[in-house]
Amino acid sequence: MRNFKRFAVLAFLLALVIGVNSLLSFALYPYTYSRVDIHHLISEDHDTIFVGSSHGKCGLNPEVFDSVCGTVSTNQCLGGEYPIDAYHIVRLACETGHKPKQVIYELDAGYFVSEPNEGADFAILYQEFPASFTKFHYWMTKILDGDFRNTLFPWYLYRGKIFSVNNTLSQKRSEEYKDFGISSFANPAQIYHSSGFIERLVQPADKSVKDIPVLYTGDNISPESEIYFRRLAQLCEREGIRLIAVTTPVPEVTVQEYSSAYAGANQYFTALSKELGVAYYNCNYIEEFSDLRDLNYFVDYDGHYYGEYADLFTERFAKMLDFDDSVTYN
Amino acid sequence: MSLISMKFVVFVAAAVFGYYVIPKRFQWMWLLLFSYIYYASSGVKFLFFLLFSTLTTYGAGRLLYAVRTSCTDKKKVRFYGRIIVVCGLFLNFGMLAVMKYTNFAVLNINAVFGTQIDLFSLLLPLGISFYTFQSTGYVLDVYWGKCEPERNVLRFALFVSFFPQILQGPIGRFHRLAGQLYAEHTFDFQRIERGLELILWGFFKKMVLADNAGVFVSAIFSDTQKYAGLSIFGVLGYSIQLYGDFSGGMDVVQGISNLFGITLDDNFKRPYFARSITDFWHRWHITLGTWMKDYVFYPVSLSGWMNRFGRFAKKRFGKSIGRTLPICVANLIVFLVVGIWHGAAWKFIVYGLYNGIIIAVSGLLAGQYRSWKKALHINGSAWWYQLFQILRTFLLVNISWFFDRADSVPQALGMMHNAVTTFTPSELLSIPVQQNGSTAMTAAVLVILAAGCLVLFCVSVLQERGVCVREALAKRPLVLRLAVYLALFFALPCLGQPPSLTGGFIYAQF
Repeated sequence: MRNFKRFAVLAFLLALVIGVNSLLSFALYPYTYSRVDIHHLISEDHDTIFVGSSHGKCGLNPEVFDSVCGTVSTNQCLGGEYPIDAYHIVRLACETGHKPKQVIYELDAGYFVSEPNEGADFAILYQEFPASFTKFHYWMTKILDGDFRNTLFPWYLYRGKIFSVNNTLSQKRSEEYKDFGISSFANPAQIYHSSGFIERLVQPADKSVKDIPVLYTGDNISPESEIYFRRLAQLCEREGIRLIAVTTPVPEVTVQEYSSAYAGANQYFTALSKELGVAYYNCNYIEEFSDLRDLNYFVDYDGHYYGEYADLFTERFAKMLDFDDSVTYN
Repeated sequence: MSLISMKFVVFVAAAVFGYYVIPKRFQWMWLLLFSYIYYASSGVKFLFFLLFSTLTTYGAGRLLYAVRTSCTDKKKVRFYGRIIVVCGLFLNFGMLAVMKYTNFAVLNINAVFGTQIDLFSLLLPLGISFYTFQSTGYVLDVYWGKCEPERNVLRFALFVSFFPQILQGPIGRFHRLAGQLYAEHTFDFQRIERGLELILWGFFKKMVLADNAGVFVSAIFSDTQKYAGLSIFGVLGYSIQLYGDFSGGMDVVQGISNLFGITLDDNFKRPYFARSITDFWHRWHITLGTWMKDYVFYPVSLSGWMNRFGRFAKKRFGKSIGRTLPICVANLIVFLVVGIWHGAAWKFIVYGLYNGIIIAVSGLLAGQYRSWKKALHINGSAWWYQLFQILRTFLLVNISWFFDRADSVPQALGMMHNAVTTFTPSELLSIPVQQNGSTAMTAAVLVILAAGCLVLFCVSVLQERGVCVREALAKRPLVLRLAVYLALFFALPCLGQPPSLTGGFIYAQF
């Protein structure tokens, strides 16, 4: 009887914690465009899925790509998206019956020489994944290694939003949220498109900060990133999906400043892609893109395109892919 | 596997569940299995070092026992015993020295002789400093007859590798720990509750105190020019960070052990209430202090050469100093070893010697202090004098933290200089406390830190006055207890910093 009472108290405590936690999650966890991205991924068929980092998000416009290639595509890139995340995105698409014909992996060397840090991006995709084997695998392979608060308190990295809790609540009760609308993601700096593309707009403060990019040094490749790039290649091969890797252009000045790091990375990824049978386009070393690398075309030194130049780049890249249907190497 | 990772939470939950489900006679084997899985998760190759330490110390213990039981000649027993102990210690400390100090030695050789010897790429096995000390302590205990050697090598392996304590201690003693590890334990709801309570309190100290303080400490110590006027805050923050981090980690480790029915030795006893540096070391990292006392201090101070030195000192400097001087030398040696144990860098050696010198000088001047107190009519038990002693010790401890936290001795000295020449507290608000470099929450984090310190201070004062806070809480109505648990539980995500800004436990790197 005594133990029953204790277990009853424990059950009550557990229920209370779950209840409070759910409320906090609802009130604090914001509506992000990742929710929209994943919704499109699992509810629509696409010929091409773009995966990769923020360079891909701002540099590859599916609408332009589709107008050239006559396909249907979605941009599933995200700032802080490591190969492990990209692998699970493609795997989720396959599991939910929306297998693409082609995956274009935007390859940023910085994500191969660093580890995912447990900031706000760490579990953002995981939170938006529907219950599935892929989600469980994702949890086992990534989230499980992270701070326990990521799993137990999904809202904890957004606790700073306590002051805008009314906005979050009204947003989550709105039709826009239920219909996966996108108007609330627009701001003076950028416009989010339903294709997943982010159009960056000119801002006075652009290029005021010159961050040092995370550089390839020859011996700092993250084993996990390489493993998941390989797994992505294997998954695509197994599912009959064509995998293409692309490094989007960065400003000429940046490449010049860190020329040996960029050249070393190019050499490494060219060899890795060749080994995996993946077509790899490093647009920093392809003549056709040399006129698209002026610093004025970018938001920053790191190489995030303004919207109109992203369109130009995407168009040219799509044409190159369209004409170059065979697997090519640099 | 970090103590704050979800993997560790799942791992502990699985270990505890299985522990009480399987037949009791297998419980210790279950713990051994989980301990080895835990250690292997840091790298399978590191198991070699753990096995090496386990087998050599187990072998030494068995050999000592064999010599003692098979040989009747006491001289021979002593002779062979010494050889076995020296070999056992040499192998274990040798391994520790090679893995931890080789590159430090190479760097110094290169600096002194102008050579260009390449550094070795050695990965330090996790917890090596802790399990080496724990297992060598066992060898010495067997040698001195303080405990009987363990017969079963697997049981002994559990003593060396018990997973909650292997990464950051406490450094256990065989005669206190082994019996608990091998005993059969039944599920006790109250004990589980107490264990979880301790874990929560430990995470509160780590995430709310240490991690919030750590954000400021990292900024101040990584840019000493920019934050020159915050050196005092840097070191004060570090004193909070280190205590919250290490003692919080200990609480977590002890709480987890409690879940298995095992009680580990206490490692902290409100160290910032210490009235002298000696007292501080009786309250801070207690198991390291007692290890040093038993296995370094006593053997050194009672050795033949120290006796001869004592006799010489008595003749040369008189009875009083002659009696104190050997103890001072032994203390200096102890703290030199403590410094070296902390890491392969000169700053740690200076840190250790600084403590040793203060204790040695205090010992030498103890008579003077007594006469000054008498002359000034100071009542040693007066509250103001005790407060003075606490503050004085806190100041001395904080000076030592400069060496412990700074990148180098010159940086530590530079920061000490800044601490007394430049003071611009308003700069605290310019330290970013978010991933994106934002300072919007800086003031809030400072308030959280202050509130966390206040909670810890109140609990510590109560404990210092002899109140057992946990016992007192256990007697309170259930609703109040649940409220406290929930408050602590939700404080972790609400008030703590994310690991992207803080990192894991500091002492897990030893």
